[in-house]
Amino acid sequence: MVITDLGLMEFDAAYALQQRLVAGIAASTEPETLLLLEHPAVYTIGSGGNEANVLDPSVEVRRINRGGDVTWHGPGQLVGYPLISLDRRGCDLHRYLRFLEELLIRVAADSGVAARRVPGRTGIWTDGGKLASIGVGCRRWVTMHGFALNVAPDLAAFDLINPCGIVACPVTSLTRECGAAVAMAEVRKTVVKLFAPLLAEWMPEKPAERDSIADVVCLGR
Amino acid sequence: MATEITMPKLSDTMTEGRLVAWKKSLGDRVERGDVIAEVETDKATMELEAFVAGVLTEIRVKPGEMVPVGTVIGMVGEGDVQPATVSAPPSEATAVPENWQPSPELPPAEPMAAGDVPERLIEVPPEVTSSPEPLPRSVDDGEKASPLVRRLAREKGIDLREVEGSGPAGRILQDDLEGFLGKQVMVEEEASKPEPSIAAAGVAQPLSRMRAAIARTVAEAWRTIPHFTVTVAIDMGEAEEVRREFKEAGSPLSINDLIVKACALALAKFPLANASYTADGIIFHEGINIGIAVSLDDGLLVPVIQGCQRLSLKEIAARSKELAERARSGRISERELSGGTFTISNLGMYGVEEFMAVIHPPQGAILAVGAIMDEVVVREGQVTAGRRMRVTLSADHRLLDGAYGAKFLAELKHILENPVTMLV
Repeated sequence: MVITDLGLMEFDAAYALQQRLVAGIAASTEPETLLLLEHPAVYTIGSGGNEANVLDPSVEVRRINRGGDVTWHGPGQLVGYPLISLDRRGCDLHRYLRFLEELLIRVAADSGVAARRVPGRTGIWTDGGKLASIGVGCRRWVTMHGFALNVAPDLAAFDLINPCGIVACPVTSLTRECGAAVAMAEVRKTVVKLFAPLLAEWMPEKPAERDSIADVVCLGR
Repeated sequence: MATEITMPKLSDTMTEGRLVAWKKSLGDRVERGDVIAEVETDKATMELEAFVAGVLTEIRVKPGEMVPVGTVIGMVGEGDVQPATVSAPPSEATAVPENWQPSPELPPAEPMAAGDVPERLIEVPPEVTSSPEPLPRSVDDGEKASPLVRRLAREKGIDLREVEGSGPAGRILQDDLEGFLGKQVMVEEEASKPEPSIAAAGVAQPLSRMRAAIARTVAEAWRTIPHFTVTVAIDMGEAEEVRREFKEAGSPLSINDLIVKACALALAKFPLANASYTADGIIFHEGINIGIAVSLDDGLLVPVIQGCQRLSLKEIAARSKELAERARSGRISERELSGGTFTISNLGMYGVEEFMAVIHPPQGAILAVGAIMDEVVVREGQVTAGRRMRVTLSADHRLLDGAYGAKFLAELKHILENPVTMLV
């Protein structure tokens, strides 16, 4: 597992990087990777998302290959793109989504924020609203895209959309929930600390059979 | 013949899925590996890939529609001609979609519940299959076998068309598979007899999956990486002494463990040998994860000792022993075979003096280690007996140059000739 902190990165550049790594992971030439980053402000919408959820026609929306509806990314929001080979871990997309929720709940708890799941509404929530969004794309059972946790963003950006396709969906952040500034660096550190152990716990790697090992095998002579 | 595409089951808890988009239009030519549709469950989408070529002849489910798992969502014909209609009635409960699977995984071998995803969904895609022949493509009319038998056949790479069925109406039973496999093993054993066999001449023996994977990896490495090699002779007398002392102290370690530790120290000083070349630039790896080539009867595996920069000699020895044993017994996880940043291949135990190894992409270098030999050494004008080992670094010339490789080896030589530096 490689965890890379990309800092602030344009959506397109990060998308290209994801595509390249996913191809490598599917071919077993790259290790599973978690990319952590922030995007300059951008609106994206899932493949099946409804553009009617974009309330301001002047907003430019990128349609991308993930589940879910429209959302916003921008500074102050911790974006995580886990590129994980689910075929080594049980081929279960729902469980993977629940794992991401568990991770985010624990990260929020680390900042003293009690967040929870709401059945049927993937993501994590507090009484104040939606704290983190989840949207995953999968190619050859390798995941891309992932989660967006509101640490301390300008929440006004969500006013121009129905976040996740939910009308008047309240959106909140760790900073708002805490009533005091939560540092991005600290949250990132917590994600780095929790991610791999929790993944191993929720979606353990199956011991590879000799045959499938062969695809990772290398070199000669 | 036409092939059904069905809504895949992407989770134990998935009962229905939404067709998000068709990526191919009616009448489009479809090649293996093409993404033909995208489906969604909860907040996740999955690309459906084609595993045979054909023409998209029918679309039964419109974008945005939610359908139960296992529903036929479209058809692909194998011919170029697009039939006007598809007469075969949909038969979802028993449908066996032949060529459309998102998963290279095999599911547990339980009987399928009604509404479960048809078992064909789980076939290994050809890209990761080493069988030179396409797997049995379809349940032809003449191919009579239960789903379980078909799955077993696929797992074992048996083309059911070659198997004679002993069941009612020629139905192929599990026993028939085993019988067929037995025959095949005998044939293979004959083919692998050492004496030149007439049968072997000019007859292609199917590649094992491991052989095919090795072939693919080294071919890619050789085609894309401009290798160069640098060799140095190292006096291993001191290192052998350290090994003896460890052994006497009850901590056995191998010469290879000393080489791993020395490489970890040298790589920390020469990070370009612990890096990957990419079109976007050089990726320096933070961790020093050293792969150890372990030979097996039918190929080789390279388990990786992660984080060598943090490990003591003893820890490296323990980890190396454990990984090699697991690799030999086939009980090793893919994770333990991935993430390597540098590799050591040691043929010293075969008496090899020196050799060159092929780099394991995306790594930038590999060290080929020869045997420790008794050699005549001239030291300070005196002829003495020495214990010499030759190591050859193969490096990616796009990453580093000869002088850098030479300096890395000089550092490695210095460490191994002064092994006390490894003990601190």
